[in-house]
Amino acid sequence: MRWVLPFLALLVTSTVAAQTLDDRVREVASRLMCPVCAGRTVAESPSELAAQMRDLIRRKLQQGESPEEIIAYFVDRYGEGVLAEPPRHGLGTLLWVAPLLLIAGGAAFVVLRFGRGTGTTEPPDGDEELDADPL
Amino acid sequence: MARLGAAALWIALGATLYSIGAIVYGVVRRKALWVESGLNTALTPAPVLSTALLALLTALLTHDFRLVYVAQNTSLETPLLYRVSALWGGQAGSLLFWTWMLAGFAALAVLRHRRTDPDLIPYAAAVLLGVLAFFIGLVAVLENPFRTVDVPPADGRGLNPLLLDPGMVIHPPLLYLGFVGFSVPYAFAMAALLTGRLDAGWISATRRWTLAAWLALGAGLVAGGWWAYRVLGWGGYWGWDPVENAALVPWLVGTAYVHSAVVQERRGMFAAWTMTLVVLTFALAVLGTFLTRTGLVASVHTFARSEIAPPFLLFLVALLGASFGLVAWRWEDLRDPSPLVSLISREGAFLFNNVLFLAFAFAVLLGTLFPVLSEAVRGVQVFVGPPYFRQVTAPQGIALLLLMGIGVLLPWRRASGRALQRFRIPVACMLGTGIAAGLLLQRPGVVAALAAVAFAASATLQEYHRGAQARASLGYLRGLWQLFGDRRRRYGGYLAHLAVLVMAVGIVASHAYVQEREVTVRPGERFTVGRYEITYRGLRAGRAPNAEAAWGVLEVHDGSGWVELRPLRLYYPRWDQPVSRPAIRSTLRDDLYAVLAAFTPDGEATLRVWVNPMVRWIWIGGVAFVLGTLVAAWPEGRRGGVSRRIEPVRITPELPRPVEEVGS
Repeated sequence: MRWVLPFLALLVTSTVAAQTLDDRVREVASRLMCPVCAGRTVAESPSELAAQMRDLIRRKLQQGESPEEIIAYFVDRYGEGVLAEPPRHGLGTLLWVAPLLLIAGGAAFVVLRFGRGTGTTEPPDGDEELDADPL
Repeated sequence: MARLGAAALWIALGATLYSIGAIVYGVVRRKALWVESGLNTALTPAPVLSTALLALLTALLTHDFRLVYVAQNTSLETPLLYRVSALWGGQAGSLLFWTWMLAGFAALAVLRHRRTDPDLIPYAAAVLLGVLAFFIGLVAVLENPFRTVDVPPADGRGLNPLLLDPGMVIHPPLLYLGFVGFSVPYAFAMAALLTGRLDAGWISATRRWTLAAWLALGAGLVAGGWWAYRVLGWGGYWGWDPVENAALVPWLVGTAYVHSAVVQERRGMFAAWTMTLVVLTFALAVLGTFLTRTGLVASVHTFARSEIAPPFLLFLVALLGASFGLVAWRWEDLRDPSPLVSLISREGAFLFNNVLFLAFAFAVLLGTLFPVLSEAVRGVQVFVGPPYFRQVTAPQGIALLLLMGIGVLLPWRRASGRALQRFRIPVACMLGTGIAAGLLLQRPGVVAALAAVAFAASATLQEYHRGAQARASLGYLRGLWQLFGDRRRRYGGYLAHLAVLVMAVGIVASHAYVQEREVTVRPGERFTVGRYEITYRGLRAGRAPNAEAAWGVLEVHDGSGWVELRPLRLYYPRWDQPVSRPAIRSTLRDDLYAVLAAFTPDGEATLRVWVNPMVRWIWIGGVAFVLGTLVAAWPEGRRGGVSRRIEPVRITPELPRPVEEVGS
């Protein structure tokens, strides 16, 4: 087993490789919608404008701007509609909170409604195995 | 042809209305002959609408440009295959196609269930025909594909070039098959409510319809992803686009229904809940048709202009109102006779599975409709793009994978200590994978997903092992084979589970480890993406059907050998839009995906190249999913397809049990 450790270490170091500029451009670009095409992010869109935007993102990153600053810059120019994801305040909160509430509510309902009530009708141990098998 | 088609629509509408009237009158007045007459007439819309469909097909094949529809969707140069698929390529045609399928299903349902379910069929037929009447009316009045012009154009506009792909030939019919197929279980559910026969009879009767619809929808989604991947050229297969979501949502709720129905059939529980799910599934299928067809999600304004939006909306509201009204009316009778013994049981796992699938579907639906909501409330158009959907659905997906394993391991009713021992190996697999993945890959989401996959996969495989052992008298392999003979439903279902796990690995890997580069290169220049070294050899030009083509020649080395890739750029003069066709080199490990984004006359090219890990697993998993579901749906010969519901009575331990049922 002694050979495993160096092997693992090798794999770890090889995968931790720092994020490349390409990755960072992609990350920022995938948070913006291409303003001229329906439903594609700047990262994915094949349009000319999206290509220019990716180029601009790259240059801004190289100049040391943070992703947030770059996003703010584009929101300033194109309006909120350029964000791939609505801002997480105001009406936008609904998007995040509603599904969580549904899960929490659903799970709570299931537990409260069915969680107890095993009561006295419980079959003796062993009985339930009747269908535990590969039916 | 146009007159024949239009006349057929009206005749079909007349027959449908007569049929509904006769059935309702016969049922109310208890006149069997009227019911019989109505059921007989219910068989006629299908052949009549087939005539209409054939008329449209003939017009498409013979380039009859007097029909506006033909001129808009085909041209003289459109190849035969795509003239046929133009039948469902445009709005009016696709609605006619939808309606024709529904008529066919209604006729098949009457033929198939007339004898076996004589109590339910008049009601179910009336419900199906009611839905059918709405759709025929819509096609005849508002979206008639047989509209003509006096002076036909010399040539048509042709099919949108993006639709010129085999993926697009099969994708819409599969989705429609799924959408329409859910109408049959829905109609039987309504029949059960109307007649008060609320046992699992309606579920058993429509089980195969349900599985067929659910399978078609699932296969349609995969086919859609395959098309998008090979044609759209943005490097991915699923864009969380409203139209895709519109088909995903009914599939998710349908999945919850398929599972809940198992519990009602086997344990006689969750009756009201199963009813609710089937109504939701069908309503969402109608909503899906509606979203794709009215442009609601593009903007509130295109929606307001769409002619078919108001009737669709009214229909949907009426459908939901009537269905849930019936559920409320029968509420007392829908109470479960046998209580849930314990949450730590297979039933319990199914309940949580249902909650998660619904929440998943709700999140997708909310994200899809949110732009409309925002525009209506704040007057600001916002986008809800892929990042939202990925963040919200990923944790739910992982939870579902875990539940997939838990549900398989837990016995019905209540888990004893002995049953819980079955968790040992799968939990060990989960921890082992989690630790190994945690060391190798730094991303917590990926680690969690892989651990969940390992858990569910080992749990499922362990079940096959246990099943084979219980049949050890036959020998292990024959015992394993026997599982698909006498327990086809369960073990076929597990095949579908394993297929989903294979897809999950592909989806996680391709999202988490995609690499991309965009380069502008001159012939002879070389660049690397991931493990690939690519040399750009230059640009070639030529002609493709209806289009001018240019393609880059790429020499791709991956260390062991080399291949040539040719990403295409097509220009369709008729559509005045250039289209990129990616070149893909696919292996089990990863896909190299190259797109020619732009080029200059002197041969300089802008290329976008992706390395998408393990995408092929998704397509393989998709095919396996279809096969597994087919196994589960295959008729069980020996037992004559009788559902083996476990009666909620106690069996005393002294009773000798049949050999096969002695487990673990």
